[in-house]
Amino acid sequence: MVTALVIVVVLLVAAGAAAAITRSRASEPKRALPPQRTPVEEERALSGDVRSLKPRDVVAYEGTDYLIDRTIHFDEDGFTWQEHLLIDAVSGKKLWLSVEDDEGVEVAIYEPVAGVDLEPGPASVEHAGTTFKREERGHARFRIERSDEQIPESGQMEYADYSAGDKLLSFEKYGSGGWEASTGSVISEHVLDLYPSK
Amino acid sequence: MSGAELDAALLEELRLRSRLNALVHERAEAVREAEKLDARATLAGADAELPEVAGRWRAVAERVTREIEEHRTALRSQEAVVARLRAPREPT
Repeated sequence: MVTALVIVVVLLVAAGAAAAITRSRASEPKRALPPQRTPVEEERALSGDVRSLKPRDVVAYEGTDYLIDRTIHFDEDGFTWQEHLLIDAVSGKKLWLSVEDDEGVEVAIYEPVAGVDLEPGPASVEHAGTTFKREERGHARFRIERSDEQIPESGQMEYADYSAGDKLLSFEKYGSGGWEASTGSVISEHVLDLYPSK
Repeated sequence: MSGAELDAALLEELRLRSRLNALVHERAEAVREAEKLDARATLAGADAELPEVAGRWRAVAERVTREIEEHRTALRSQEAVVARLRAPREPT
């Protein structure tokens, strides 16, 4: 009987203390919530997110406005990245914009190498007086999304990436086609001005 | 800074970016039309007025280019407005 009485008293005291704490917290002035987004995330939300680019978006780069003509989505065993074909309607110039989100966003701009018989294979490749060292080589599934809303193409591709300091040399091979080479460099996403389509 | 002021500034920046997208597409269409008419004008039996019509499309492209630059300047200003509104205040 005494034990039961002690338990009841303890429970009542605990309930009273909890109610007092609750009242005390409720009467405290509300603290400002910590920011939900980092400054970079804020900027992406406002100015456009390079990771969400899609056909018909506009990318302004080095004073030129490029339309995204198509986006290729790659998937290699769950690791994904995108490449966007940028076309300047005025000059006809074409660039590829590569976007990877792997422990930070990495953005690179590539230009196709025309008229040169280049192939990957050895651990290093010479091009335009530069020796590029092989970084990685692999296969990926791809899906092409076009601005003209045609049925997306998809399939398998092979790639090989080389680098020499800031310079990049990339090889891609789609289906039974030959190797396509392009040179490029890593850029900051903040040098791009994005004008998203609706 | 008031939240409403910042919201209005953000909306204006978004509007400018959206308008720039539309203008770049408009210029691309004008350039494509001019190039198409230039090519058609070289074909046998082509209408003699096609080069002049192509010129009108090029004029449209030039006008839109000026409009793009005006909007880009406005966007840069708006970005500065937003940056000022979002920046922490200096301690007084």
